[in-house]
Amino acid sequence: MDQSGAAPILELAGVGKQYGRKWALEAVDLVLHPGQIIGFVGPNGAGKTTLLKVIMGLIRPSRGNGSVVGQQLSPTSRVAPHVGIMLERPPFIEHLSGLRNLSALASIRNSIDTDDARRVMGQVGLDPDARRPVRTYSQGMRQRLAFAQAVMEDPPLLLLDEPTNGLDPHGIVQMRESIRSAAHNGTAVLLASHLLSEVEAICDEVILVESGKVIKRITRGSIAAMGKGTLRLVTNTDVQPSLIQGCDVRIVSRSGSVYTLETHMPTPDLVRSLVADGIDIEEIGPVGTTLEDVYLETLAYDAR
Amino acid sequence: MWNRLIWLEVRRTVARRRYALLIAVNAAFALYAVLATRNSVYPGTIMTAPIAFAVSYVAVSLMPVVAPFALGDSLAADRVSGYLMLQLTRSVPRPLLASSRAVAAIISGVVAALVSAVPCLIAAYELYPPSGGDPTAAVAFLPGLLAQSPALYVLLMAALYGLAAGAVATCALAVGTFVRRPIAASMVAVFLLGTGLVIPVQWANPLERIMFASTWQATWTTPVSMTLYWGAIVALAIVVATARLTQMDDCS
Repeated sequence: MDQSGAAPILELAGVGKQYGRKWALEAVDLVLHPGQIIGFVGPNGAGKTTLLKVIMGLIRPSRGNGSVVGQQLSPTSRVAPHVGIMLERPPFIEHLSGLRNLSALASIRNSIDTDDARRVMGQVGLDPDARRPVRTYSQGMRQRLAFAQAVMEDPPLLLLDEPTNGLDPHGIVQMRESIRSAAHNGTAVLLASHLLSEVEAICDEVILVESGKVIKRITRGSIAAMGKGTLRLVTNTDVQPSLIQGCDVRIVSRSGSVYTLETHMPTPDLVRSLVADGIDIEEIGPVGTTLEDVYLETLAYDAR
Repeated sequence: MWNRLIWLEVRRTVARRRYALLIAVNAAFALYAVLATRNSVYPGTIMTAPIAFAVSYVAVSLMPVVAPFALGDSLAADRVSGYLMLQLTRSVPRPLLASSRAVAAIISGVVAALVSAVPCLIAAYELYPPSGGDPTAAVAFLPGLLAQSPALYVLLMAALYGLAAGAVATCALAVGTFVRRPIAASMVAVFLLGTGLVIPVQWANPLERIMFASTWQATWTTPVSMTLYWGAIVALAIVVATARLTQMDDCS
């Protein structure tokens, strides 16, 4: 149960998937409530797609259990939950128009009619009356159509794989708003992406994975907290450690006239101390930690 | 859900360019064959009897051979594209996938055959007026029908060819659960016909069944036996495809 008392849409406990001797996914625990957006981030081959396929019910887990939209998941049973999916390379019937593609998929469950499909197409910025076949669509248009098919039947769980792939800046903003809007309406969203700034902007929580293992879980608030105590100082003074011995401050790095400092002092006190030590401050301010910083640090990547 | 899946596949198939091409080519060959038969009956005109025979032979065997390229490659193609995932995440049970596509292939095949028979129908009425056609031009199991009702004869023959085309396409669907290349799956018709060269039992020989017009004197060939034969092939293909889809850990 979350704070509102709603039961989780997705609950995984120790879910793993083994191919031969290799574990593509190891002991993943995940709880996703209605309206929550969780990002799944990791390098290629980290196990993101495998996890999405387990949740979709396409593959059985080798171990662990859980529930997906009320259906029990275990190594002996494959689920067939009602989820909306958006794949990295959206598949469609290429010779049909966008509307006919949506209508064809909607006809399987028969839960919405053509008017609903038209409305959803309009919401994602596509013309439902356009008769051109999908094979003539740009990548951005395909992404929009893919999102439309994912949300058109109002699924309780959305699984999005690189949703902003190929979108122009306007499209990215629109997609971000659409995802937020879906979450606002109670849809739980699991988002896999390499675009860290987008994940950071949208998600309530981010899970870092590598080689099938969950390496770290980061909440929106924890990223902001990680930046506390780190300052960026711009000065023409040659700041030597001996010069700031009287301050509770450490020089982490220097690049020309730009210094990165670590301190436990309140910034106004630090500024006074530095000025008293003869340092001409041109600019000083907190260093904002981003998801990218955390990602690179956690997964031991060289930022360059 | 099963019937909705069937109609989804039928609508999808008939909207393909390949499907229109299948009908056009089949109609052209069939019409040519009718005209050739006419001219072989009346020597000295445009076509000679050997040419007419050759064209007829190609025409009757063409549709079941090429049909899988328009009707039977969807499972392999959807595995590659990921479209199968979109269907499965709409809570479609896997056993329904293969059977609905098989039925859709048969419906599409029969419709294609019937539509492409229309020019033959017109030609048949022109060449064989209601007073009666030439019974020697008919297959052995329907000697009187061509004479009595040319239109019904043409439609029945077209339906049988359509059924054969749908059945071969269903085999392509089953092959598509093993191979991810749509073209390779569609090539199953060639292999199926190839088995005809080694199967000694005439009634079980798909080559003989597909080219039943070449075995006009085969008394074992009747509309009912044709339907049962291709029905058994379809059932077998559905069982194989369903088992494979259910057993597959990943449908991509």
